[in-house]
Amino acid sequence: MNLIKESNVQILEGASDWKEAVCQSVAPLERDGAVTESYKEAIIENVEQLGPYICIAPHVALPHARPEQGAVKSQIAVTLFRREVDFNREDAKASLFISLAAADSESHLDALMQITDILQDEERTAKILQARNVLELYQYFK
Amino acid sequence: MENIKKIMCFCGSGLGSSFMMEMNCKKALKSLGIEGVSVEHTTLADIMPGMADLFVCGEDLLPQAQKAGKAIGLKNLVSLPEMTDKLKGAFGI
Repeated sequence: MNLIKESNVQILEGASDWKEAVCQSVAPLERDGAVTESYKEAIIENVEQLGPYICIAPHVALPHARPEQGAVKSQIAVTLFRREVDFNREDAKASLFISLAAADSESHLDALMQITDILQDEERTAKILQARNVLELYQYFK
Repeated sequence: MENIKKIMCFCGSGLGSSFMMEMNCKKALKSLGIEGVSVEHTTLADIMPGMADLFVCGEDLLPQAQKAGKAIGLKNLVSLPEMTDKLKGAFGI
């Protein structure tokens, strides 16, 4: 997937709460200049207002906000937390964070289609959640 | 069968999960053999009553969707079986 670079894939032990998890999962995008500092705050604000809409499937979150909320270029970062992150809502837990920066409403659609296909394969998703290292994790999204 | 001609999928941002739901919705309609239904995606802020015959969103946003009309809420946004099941319910088939 051309929006994912190996340097934007990471495995972390855990986060103290979901807000920290969002910040950590967006950090590679920020470092790369794909999003501004306000992007993570926009995601956190949206979730506080609307509920955990970024939890898209069991164990999987897709942190994202609107282009005008700080997305500069379309890019995706993948973070796997060894300890599942709790969104303080029933059912809303995630360990795989696929953070999406969409600079417009088109350029990221191919990548999202591929991610949907990956996540629809339950066996593959189970393997992703057990990835032993960054390289292995990256291979699943390549 | 219910007369549903337009389905609007939406999420908090209108370009991530809503698009995933749109793709899944189209796949599910195809597998159910339902034709002639347009499916689009948008953001919660742009949802208006009457803009679609059926609204599709994540479970969390279901109360807002129901204010705009007939709606289904999904637990797993990428699950094809769940989408297919709930569409069956909405279409009454």
